[in-house]
Amino acid sequence: MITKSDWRAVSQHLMASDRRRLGDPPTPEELLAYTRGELSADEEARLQERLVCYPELVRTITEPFPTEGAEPGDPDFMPDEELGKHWASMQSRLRRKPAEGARVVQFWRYSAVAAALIAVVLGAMLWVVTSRAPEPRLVWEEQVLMPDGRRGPESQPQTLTAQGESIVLIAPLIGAQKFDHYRLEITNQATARVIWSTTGVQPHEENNSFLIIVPRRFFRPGTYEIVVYGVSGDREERVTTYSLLVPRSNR
Amino acid sequence: MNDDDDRFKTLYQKYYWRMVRYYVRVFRCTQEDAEELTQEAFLRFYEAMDEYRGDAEWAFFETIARNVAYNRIRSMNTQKRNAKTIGIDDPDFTGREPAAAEEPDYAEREQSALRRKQVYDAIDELPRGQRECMLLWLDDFRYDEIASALRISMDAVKSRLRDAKKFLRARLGDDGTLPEDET
Repeated sequence: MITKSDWRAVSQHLMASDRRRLGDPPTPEELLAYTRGELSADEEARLQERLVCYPELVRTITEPFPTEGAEPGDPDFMPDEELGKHWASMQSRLRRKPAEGARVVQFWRYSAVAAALIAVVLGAMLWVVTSRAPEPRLVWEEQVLMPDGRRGPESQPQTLTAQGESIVLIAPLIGAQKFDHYRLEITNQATARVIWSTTGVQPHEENNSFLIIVPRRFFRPGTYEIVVYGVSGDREERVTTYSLLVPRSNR
Repeated sequence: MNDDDDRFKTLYQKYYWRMVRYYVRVFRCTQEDAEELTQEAFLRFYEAMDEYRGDAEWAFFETIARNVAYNRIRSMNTQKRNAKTIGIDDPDFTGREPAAAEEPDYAEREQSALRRKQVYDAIDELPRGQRECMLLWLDDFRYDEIASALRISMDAVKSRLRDAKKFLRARLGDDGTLPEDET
């Protein structure tokens, strides 16, 4: 006789085995695209396979996110006194972080944005130069990014392997619909913050790819997502994403 | 105290306990763990607030809260990946049973491992759509929740589960009684 615990143990074992086989869970951005119905049938099927083996993630879809806040008088409303304690505790947690942290981050963000903007221009120039005179160059190294959902069964972010002070990321638009122009963003997945963006750009004509030169120090170790949005008139659509893992040793 | 702090405190008062309950439901965790996640989400929100220039603050918070959940799930997965694994053929697979009053003898353990191997193989043979519904159903998701997670209709869920159960019963014979099979 198969008991209920047999069924449960087997289903958990199958999920664990799927997790090992399929890798990390879908990212919040992928889930958002999934719940909005923005994925192709193939992408949706692949995402569902990865989703089902993470029941906690399934519950982030099935459990309604609180949209209505509690009002005074509601038991869920936090009284001022309790808020005061939480606020003090939060301030002390913030103080434990480096004192100049926020300003340092801001400085690096703006420096990085400026560097990346210059890098994009240099990248375009480099492309022209290298296509005309393809002699070896040691300063830059390129890495072709594969759009998410087009890396076969391997669903984990692509690892940044290019070495050097600066790298050229080549982001091809594969089979994407044409738009008047495009907007690019780089998001740090750990903080969900957009760390760089640019608007009104076009892919390189010859290979329908965007070339982004990025100083190595722009990327701290972590996972990043490069998002391409297509813009036509008032309409803006998320066209494709490229997930990129910057390993700790690769700096 | 500035305007950002005031806005933050207002949201904190209104949403803190609702977020705690949300995380408890999602992770089936203790209230203490859920409070830790909620505080983490609000802390990140606070840090990011001065960069946010929009009026949809709660939507912005939702993005952060979902990322906090995602990172937690990913780190749980890493821990699970690094944990000792037991093969489906291993008699120790039965060690997942709750502690019994008496230690089952070797023959019983073998029998149990064999039973689970049969169930494992049978579920694994299901077509993808039926397999996904079955795994979620065995994890206590309701039909409407499965429908919402897989973006299919309730009728499709019922139909897939009916077919899956029929297959499993045929495959497992008299042993193939499913939990709460009457549903």
